[in-house]
Amino acid sequence: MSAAGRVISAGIRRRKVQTLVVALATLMAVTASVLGAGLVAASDAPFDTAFARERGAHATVLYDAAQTDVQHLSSAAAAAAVASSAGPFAVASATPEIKGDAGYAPLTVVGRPGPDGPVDRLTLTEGTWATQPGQVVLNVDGEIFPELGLRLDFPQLPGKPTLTVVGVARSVTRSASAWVAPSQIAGLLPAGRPGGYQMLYRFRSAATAAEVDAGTAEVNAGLGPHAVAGVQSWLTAKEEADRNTALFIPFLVAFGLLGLIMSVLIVGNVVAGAVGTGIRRIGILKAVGFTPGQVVLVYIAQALVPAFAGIVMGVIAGNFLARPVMADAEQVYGSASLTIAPWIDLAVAAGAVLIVGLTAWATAWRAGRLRTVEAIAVGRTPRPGRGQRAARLTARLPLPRAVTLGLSRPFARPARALAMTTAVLFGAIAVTFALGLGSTLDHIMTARAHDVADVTVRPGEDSVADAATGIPSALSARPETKAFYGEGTTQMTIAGTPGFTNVIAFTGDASWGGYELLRPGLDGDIETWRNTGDACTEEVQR
Amino acid sequence: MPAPVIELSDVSRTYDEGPPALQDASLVIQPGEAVAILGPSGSGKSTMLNLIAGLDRPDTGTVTVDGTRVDQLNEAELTRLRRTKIGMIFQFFNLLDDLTVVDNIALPAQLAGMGRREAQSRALELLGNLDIKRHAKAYPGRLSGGQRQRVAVARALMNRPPLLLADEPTGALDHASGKDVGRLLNELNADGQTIVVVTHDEALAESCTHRTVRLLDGRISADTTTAARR
Repeated sequence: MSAAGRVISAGIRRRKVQTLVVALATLMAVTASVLGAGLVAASDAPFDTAFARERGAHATVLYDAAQTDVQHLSSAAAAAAVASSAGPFAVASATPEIKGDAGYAPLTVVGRPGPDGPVDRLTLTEGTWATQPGQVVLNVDGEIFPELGLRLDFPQLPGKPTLTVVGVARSVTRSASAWVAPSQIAGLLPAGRPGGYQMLYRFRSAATAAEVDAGTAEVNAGLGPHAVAGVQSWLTAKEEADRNTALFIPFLVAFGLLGLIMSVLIVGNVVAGAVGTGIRRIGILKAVGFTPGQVVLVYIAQALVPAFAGIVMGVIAGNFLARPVMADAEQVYGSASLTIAPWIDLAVAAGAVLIVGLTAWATAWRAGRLRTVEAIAVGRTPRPGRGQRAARLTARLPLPRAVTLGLSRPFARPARALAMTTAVLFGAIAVTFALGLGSTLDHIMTARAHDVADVTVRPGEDSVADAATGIPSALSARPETKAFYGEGTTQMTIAGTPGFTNVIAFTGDASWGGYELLRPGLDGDIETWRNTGDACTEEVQR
Repeated sequence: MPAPVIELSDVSRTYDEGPPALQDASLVIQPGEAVAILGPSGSGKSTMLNLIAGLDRPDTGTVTVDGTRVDQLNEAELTRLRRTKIGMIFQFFNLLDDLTVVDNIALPAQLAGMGRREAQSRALELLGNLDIKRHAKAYPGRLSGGQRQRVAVARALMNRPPLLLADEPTGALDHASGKDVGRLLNELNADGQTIVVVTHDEALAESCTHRTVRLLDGRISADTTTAARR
């Protein structure tokens, strides 16, 4: 081993704490950076990214099987506007009971032979695909909490079929609530009802609603007026996804960027500190015959070897920890298969090598250029001229001398003080941000839970009729009642709208319970109808 | 007459805004001499030694070591000069505490291009000569001050430099260890090694050198030869 190699290896082996600190700091920084960069990358138009990767359907069209047939739909797929299509898949709408609970909304169940295909490639997030009768794959974003092994009963259907959940999948446009093997659909149809077909289209041009409408019109040309039961444009799903993610993206991106900035600062500080403490050793190396260039190489290597170990472990840890984080991001973004792209691993690793190398180089280069006699004297003799004016000024302050001495130190090493201040600044931002976000989300969750009432009374089955009349009268009569309202909820599905819609009816002013009327009749989050027959115009138009 | 090993001509050095640490100093040292540079604290002794070793640069004047103008060399050239022509002993030893004794000693030779095995062999030979071979595999932190200074001497002699510079070599040692180091320097000089010792210690100067240069306020105030040691 060469002289430099021996010095490097001794420096790494014998300075275990320093080596460990550099390795750990790099590990944590790289882990945070992989996560941060992964989140930032995943937050870049998540719906569009997922839609492109999964070849989402520009239009999901539901046909009445009584009004059209498979041949007609197959030939419609050859329309000039169509770039690719999937289907026709048989569709049934069926309402399940789970463990005796019948309070579930109808499911749109599609018979598909597999999750792949030219359009709307489904991502299996759990389990396997339904290939046998009696099996079902639930949409992870559906109304039923997906759980492998869960049994869905359909007692109102002929033969009272039961489906067992064997898989969980995600469709970027939420093209169905659940999927079964094609042969299963017949068993999910009420007697004498033909059910429907689902066609998934990708059009050559579908950037605007007009283009989607034009494409849909072309494929549906020649069909009877009642053949089309519903059309879902990808723009509707995109709008909903973008609205849902708009709240989260700034936070996730901010967290990601904070992680990256903190990582750079921490690694820079640690490496600069580690090299900086070795200035006397640098002086000795120069005194025994190391050139300044050799000194710099020794210290870069001494920083890079533990850093490299930290980088490798950090990339592994980052990817490992990213799994649950990305799964949460998938949930938030309604997309699938979010992973850390290999370029992120490479970029973070290269960035870490660069930062460690540059910081070590800059510090060692500076130390290497010190006069040898000055470097050797570090720690034994004071260095003149640095921060003297600040020391004189702080000495005049009416504070204990120990404090005034400390106050002047940052001026003696302004670059180090600046780096430290920046690290503390971003640390404070991160903590404030995290605590503030947590607190805000708590408030939001409290408001959305609508459970601020001191007492919640749930009428039994026999007293539902009284809930509308008797209970309000009784409550109003009691002097300790400040305010109350009653609510009834149900769910409904609307053709052309993915998923289901919650409908809540109130008996009185519910604003104090966290419900807020934003813009009645327009596109506010809450629509109100006061009379029987009022139209849900906003939802229907979407 | 052989060419001098050291030649200082009108050398001055001032740090920051203070008074000159060394002023118009001229000095010639011939091969084989053992010279003590004496003086009170702040008289410029260490400054003179650092200028000779190329650890510092003069503001004015010239410094020549073994025929090379030290004051005109850049850092890399100075490093190469120190590797081959100058051995240095410091008051606080300046050993690398993460290398073993034998590795510390072998380092200058390896840097000068000697193979590791040959360097280790030479280092062990020196350790034997200095009677500390049993500590070859120890780390400096486990040795006494006197033993550490012997290691530093061995390291300084590793490349067989024509000049050995010692800056307060007994300053951090107890009396017995100090005498021991003085004896060692004396033996080295007896073998023909040129030695320059900076010290406060009159006894050390008397025991291991034959010439005394006295500094006062940055100027050479006396330069005397002790004939008895001749």
